[in-house]
Amino acid sequence: MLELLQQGFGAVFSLNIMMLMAVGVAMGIVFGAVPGLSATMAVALCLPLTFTMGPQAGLSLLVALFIGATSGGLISAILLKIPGTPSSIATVFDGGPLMEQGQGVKALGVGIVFSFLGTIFSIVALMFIAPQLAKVALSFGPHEYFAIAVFSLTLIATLSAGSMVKGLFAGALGIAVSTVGIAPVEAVRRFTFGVSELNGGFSMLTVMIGMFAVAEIIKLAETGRHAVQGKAKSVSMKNIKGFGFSLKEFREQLPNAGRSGLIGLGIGILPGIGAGTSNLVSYIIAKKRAKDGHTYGKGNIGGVVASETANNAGIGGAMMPLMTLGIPGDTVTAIMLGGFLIHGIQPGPLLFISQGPLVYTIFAALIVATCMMLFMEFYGLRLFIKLLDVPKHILLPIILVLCVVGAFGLSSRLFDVWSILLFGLLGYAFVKAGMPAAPFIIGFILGPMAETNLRRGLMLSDGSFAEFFTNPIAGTFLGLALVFVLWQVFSALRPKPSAINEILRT
Amino acid sequence: MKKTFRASLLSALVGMGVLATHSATFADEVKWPTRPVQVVVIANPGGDTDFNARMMAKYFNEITGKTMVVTNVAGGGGTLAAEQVKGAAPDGNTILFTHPGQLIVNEVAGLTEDSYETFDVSCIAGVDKSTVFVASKQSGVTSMKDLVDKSKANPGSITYGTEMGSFSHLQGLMLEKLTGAKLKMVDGGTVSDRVVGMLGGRLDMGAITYGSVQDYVQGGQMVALGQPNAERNAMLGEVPTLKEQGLDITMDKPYVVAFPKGTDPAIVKKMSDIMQQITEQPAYAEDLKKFKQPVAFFATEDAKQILAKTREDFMQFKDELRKAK
Amino acid sequence: MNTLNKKELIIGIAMLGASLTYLVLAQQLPGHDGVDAATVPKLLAGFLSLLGVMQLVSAFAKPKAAAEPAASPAPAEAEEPTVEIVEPKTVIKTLGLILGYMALLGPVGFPIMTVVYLYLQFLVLTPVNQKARHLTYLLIAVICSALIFLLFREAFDLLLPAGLLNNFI
Repeated sequence: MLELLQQGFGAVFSLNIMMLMAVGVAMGIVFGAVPGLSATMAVALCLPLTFTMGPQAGLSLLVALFIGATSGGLISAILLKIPGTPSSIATVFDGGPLMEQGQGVKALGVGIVFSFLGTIFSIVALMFIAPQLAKVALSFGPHEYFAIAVFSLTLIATLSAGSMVKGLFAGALGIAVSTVGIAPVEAVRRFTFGVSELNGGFSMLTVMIGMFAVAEIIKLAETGRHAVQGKAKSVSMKNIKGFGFSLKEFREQLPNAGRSGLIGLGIGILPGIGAGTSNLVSYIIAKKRAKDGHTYGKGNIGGVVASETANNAGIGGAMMPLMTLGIPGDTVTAIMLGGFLIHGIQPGPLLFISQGPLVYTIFAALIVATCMMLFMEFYGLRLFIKLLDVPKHILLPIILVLCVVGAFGLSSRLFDVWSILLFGLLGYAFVKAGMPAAPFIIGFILGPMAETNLRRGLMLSDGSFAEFFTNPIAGTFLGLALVFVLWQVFSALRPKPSAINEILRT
Repeated sequence: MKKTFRASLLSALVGMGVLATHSATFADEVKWPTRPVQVVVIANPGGDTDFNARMMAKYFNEITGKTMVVTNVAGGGGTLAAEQVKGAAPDGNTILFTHPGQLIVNEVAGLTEDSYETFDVSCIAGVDKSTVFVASKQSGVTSMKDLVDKSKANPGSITYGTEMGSFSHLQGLMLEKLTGAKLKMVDGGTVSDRVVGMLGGRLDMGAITYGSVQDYVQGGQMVALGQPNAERNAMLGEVPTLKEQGLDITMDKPYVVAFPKGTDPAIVKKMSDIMQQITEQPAYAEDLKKFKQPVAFFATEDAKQILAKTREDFMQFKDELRKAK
Repeated sequence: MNTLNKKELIIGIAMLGASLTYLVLAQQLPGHDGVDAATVPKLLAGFLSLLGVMQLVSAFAKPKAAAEPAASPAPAEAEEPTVEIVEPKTVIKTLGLILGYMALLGPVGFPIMTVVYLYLQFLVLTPVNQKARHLTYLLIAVICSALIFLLFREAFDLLLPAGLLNNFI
């Protein structure tokens, strides 16, 4: 194995591939950082470029893009409070407040370092225990997926920053919006009003950039002209050494990082569910487990750590089923599968045997790309901060244009462009109504997963619900969900009436 | 009496296609393409449909010197892509790259009112012959005959994983109809989801691209029951055809190139001619091998004939497809 | 009734309105026995309506628990200093610009509309204590538009709508 890895590094350390990867990582970071452009889009747009390259160069480029784009999302999430990709949504929750408190550099530093650690952790897992772990994914069928979706949905209650009713409403509304389009399993059009463009429903990306980026511009329009200029510029690079946080803080975050890494890895391995979900789930769990949980959402680096470790750990996670089973773990790896096939390589259980050298080249590329990412983002840190010198009234309109490009790029339809305005208005209404956006997004992501797998599960068990509970994994998750809901209700009812409102708020 | 069933005329027309002339001169010298041509593909990047479109684009660029830009518009079972092309200006600059899964099945399943005649079909750019019927080891099914016997003896005991209202659903229905077997049709999601389902023992069988399962067939976790091609596709190894096993079933998935209605017939013809030129290139054939696909081409009239026949065949299953299960 | 309760009440009405609309639409979905495509929407509609009612009830119940400082003021606003001046006019102008931008993106095309939009949006959002620098704004708008358009077209094969310029580029 060591020998193969050596060969792999040998292949990657050619001038040609190294340059390609450096470009890939840099471009990935940009795609990740610009709201509206995502990792999926970076890989999809560059896939055709790899056709003419050899498999080693081509796949190294795709891997570099994947890693760059996944970690790039944290930059805009922290600096602008707009997540660059769906995998960095939870980074905004604490990254944003930290930025406002003038701790932007620290938040960025933490995000970058834990992105790096999360990625490395998952690559190590990919290299050593991929076949065993991937087999676990096989035992997950519709019943299990349904249970996981339901469990994750119940976590919404925790994300409700204001009133619980509003949080739950936002989540349910997210699910409701996701039901637009052709229904899962049977060919029934729902809520399309005969508009064929609604057949496919709304895209996750348009929902996200609408709710965050467009809403942010409208907010700027509301108060920006009178805002005290320079408030955002309070970020100073003076007295900032290294990544801007202390060794003590680093040590304190290790348990959180370990847990988040496992969550990110676990969710990443399961096909069809990835970093977009895992960053939120691990954020919620980190908040629950932390001693200072009440400071989450107000600028606790733990929130950034949880989100960024988890989403990057998803990289190795998503690669596992791809490389050992030939099953893509998420949208990015689905496109990457095409990158393999185009070179006549069919990933599957025999890939490690039939394409040993290539497999280890990919491992080496993953490691090298991760190091490049750390390096570029560390030195880029000062550059990113400079971004804030651009006045907001110049920066945000340009970001809106990029969002329009991103939405249009999804499938070259103006419909997607209109959707971002629609969700921008909705996001603005949410802000006005004191309704949190995060539950809406979770509902939107997980709602279809729950419904589709409910229907599939019922088909498998001939319409019987029993299997959802008798199945060990599904039963456990549904049980956990039930306990969680009961506990929430119980703790809301137990205290004196005067404290009820206090509970409802948190 | 032996039941006979043909999903398409393809097998009958293969001979004609091969005999088709090399004299593909551009009869009407129409001024096209003048700008980058956009090909709207009904699938995501990375799959077989996308691959075929990209190969077409690659050689189109070489032959005409104009770029062909591939745009992936997945979602809505292909209806999104179809709508986009349908609504585009019929100036030859927007092309739909599709297959009967969208072009015909959607109409049959009641997902759209539009038939293939909503478009000006130009040609069939290729035919996928890499789909095989596979069964998981756990199912205990070892051959097509075994499958028929088992499912007849115990109707509904074999779980057929598919996507409801999709091409593979139809393949299953055809299999049922021809053999008289009764399968338990279950929505198993995408190809990848179904492979996972079969490996996990939740699904017994399905119609899946050979590439996705070849390692499992070699490793013994799955059994390739048969390929629904008229003759063995040499790139699928030792998988027998259904015909060899006494089942007269052939099903192919042709990739169709279509323009919005009202496009200048000369452009439609020229595209067909260019595609034919592409299929004659040895390098193109070499590229297609990666997806275990032999070269195939049908010009405008043949393509329309094939689609008409396919539509007629599929319409028999209208009720099954529309019946929400 | 103070303004806060009024606001919560309006929110409640909006929530209930949205829920009931969804409920009515969900009822019209075609269905059959057992779990079908309408099942989840119907359940969801019921849950949404329930939450809407709860919001209304809590809005009415508030005055009694007046001692408690508002269970749910918009958190985003609560954090912000109260002295901030809210400008509905700028919001409407911005929305109008975005609307116009999107509406004309197809017919007029990305390159022209982006320049127009960016330039006007820069002007609209210019802080009151700063002067609008027309030339700089125009320059930034033109550069951004051209750069984005060409980059995506040449490097990524993404054809942004060219609109009026269709025959020139």
